[in-house]
Amino acid sequence: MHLVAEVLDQQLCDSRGKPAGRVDGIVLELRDDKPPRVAYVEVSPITFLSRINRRLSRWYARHDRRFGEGRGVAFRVPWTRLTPSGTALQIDIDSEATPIVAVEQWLRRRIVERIPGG
Amino acid sequence: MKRILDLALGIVTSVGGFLEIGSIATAAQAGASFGFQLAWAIALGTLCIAFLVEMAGRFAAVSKHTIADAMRERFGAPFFTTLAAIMLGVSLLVMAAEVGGVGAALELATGISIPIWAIPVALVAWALLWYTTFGVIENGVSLLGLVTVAFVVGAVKLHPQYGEVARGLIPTLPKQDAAKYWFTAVSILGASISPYLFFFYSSGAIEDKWDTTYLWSNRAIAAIGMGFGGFLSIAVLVLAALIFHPHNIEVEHYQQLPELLTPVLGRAGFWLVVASLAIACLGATLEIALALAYLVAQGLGWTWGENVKPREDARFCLLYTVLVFAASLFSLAGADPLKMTQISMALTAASLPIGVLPFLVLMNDRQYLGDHTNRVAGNAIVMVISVLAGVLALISIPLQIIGGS
Amino acid sequence: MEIHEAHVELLLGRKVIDADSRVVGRIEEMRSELVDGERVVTEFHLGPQALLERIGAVVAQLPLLGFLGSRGRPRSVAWRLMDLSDPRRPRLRGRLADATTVISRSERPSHPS
Repeated sequence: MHLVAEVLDQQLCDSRGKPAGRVDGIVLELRDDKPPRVAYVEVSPITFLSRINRRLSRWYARHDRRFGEGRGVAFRVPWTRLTPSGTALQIDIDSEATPIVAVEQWLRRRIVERIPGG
Repeated sequence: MKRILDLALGIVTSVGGFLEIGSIATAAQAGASFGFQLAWAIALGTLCIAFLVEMAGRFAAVSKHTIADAMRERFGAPFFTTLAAIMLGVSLLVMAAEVGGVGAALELATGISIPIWAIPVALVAWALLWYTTFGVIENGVSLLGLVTVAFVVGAVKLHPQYGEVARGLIPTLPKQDAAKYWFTAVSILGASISPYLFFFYSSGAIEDKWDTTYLWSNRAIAAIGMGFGGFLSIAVLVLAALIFHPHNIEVEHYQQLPELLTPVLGRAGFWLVVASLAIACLGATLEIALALAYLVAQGLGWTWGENVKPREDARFCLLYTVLVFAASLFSLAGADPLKMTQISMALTAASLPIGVLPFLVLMNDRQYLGDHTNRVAGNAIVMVISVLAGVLALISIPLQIIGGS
Repeated sequence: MEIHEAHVELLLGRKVIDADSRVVGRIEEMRSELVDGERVVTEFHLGPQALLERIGAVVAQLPLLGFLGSRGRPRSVAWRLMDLSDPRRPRLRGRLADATTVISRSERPSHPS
């Protein structure tokens, strides 16, 4: 399996088949005398932005931190929880309970549900 | 039977979606300044967009991926971000021109000036996006867009010398005003080949759940729909060439646009131009807002879709909301729709290679398309025309700025 | 023991240099395999050819971009030879000059060596 061509930037869907972001990063665990282990994928604007501009990424992380526990750092999904599914990779987690859709949920509650027809 | 109906609807849709302020204004300006001489630019642009639309539909039907989706997947986050930033910048300006176009139509109809219309127009566009589905927008607005056929009726009634028009289809060098000639040619290419269209079409194909059985209707829709759309543009050019060109009148104000039809159809002509402008520009505003929201949402892996309730895809819906209102700010601030059109169409042409070349790479990728990858002819036509448009734009935009208009 | 990490997305595009500070190429792809039930990185693919392998060889056939195909060779470096102790400056263990045995072209039958 080619990590860049087949995993990085691929669409993710959650345990209910809903879009759950993209593979923004892949974390390798480096070990002595053993090949690097593919440990996690990261799904987070912090990781996405770190590929474009480090300062922008740090700025985003600083603001994100204020939203509470688990925020301000990139969200990680253990590699073992990923399986290929159609045109996407599936993670066996309900995305609604993760920071992946935190912004979506916030906008839904604060704005969309207050507009008629939302 | 349903397939035939779908096919007819698809063709109507793409015809109705073709004319917008870009193609109306640039064709009118070209006809007024250079007679039939620039008809070739419309033909070239139409050929290119027909190929691009066919490719975008085929890509989605075969691979079940949208273009934006595949671009992120294949070229990675940094490239995707650059592309999205350029697309957002240029297309927002195009959308601003479209909102201005609706405003101009309303001003012609009521006498109330454009800036006052900016926010109401944005509100109507937003409400259509927020409360209706993809089908309503695609079919409804585009069916109404068939009113633009009035331009063909007008052009035929003026009995143009068809041989002369046909001669314009062969590219020739300008006799005078070279800078303006090439700049106008570039604007026409930018107006005909809108890169947002392939993001829009591929997303539409996924929303409508296309599969490989749609390949034939996809081809027919692209060829007939875009071909007829180009034909409409040429009708506008013919009208301007016959009405303005003999009197050396340039098209510099949108208030001149009704004169394209009033000499032939009288008062009805005036209202047909106003209706065409309003409907076509409103339709284009909706398409661009959706296309940009699709692009960002798919590239970042959000939930997206015009057939989903806004609360299910909050980010997607709020993004098009922000875009529509941002685009209306230009008109609110008093920007002239014709000026915005000229600038945004030239910039579209300049940015074409950046969007089209990676798109061609995807269209040749067997992992996405299997046996349905591009043929040599399609690759060559699209690449040559879009690179030509880009190069011409890079040369003629500075010349136009130096020369002044 | 402290856990050392490297990020695939940040290694991507980094220049790898050898013990003589000679450039080996940019990292463009990482090949992984299942070993003892664990997914591990076994090879790093370097250079423009590796990039083409990822985004599609058709790019090299486009006018103006032909240089991508003509320059450099696809190189595949086994994980043992890649020193990632500073992930921002990946290094080749050993020298490129005597690396004929340790660096192979990646498995592309269309490019005979």
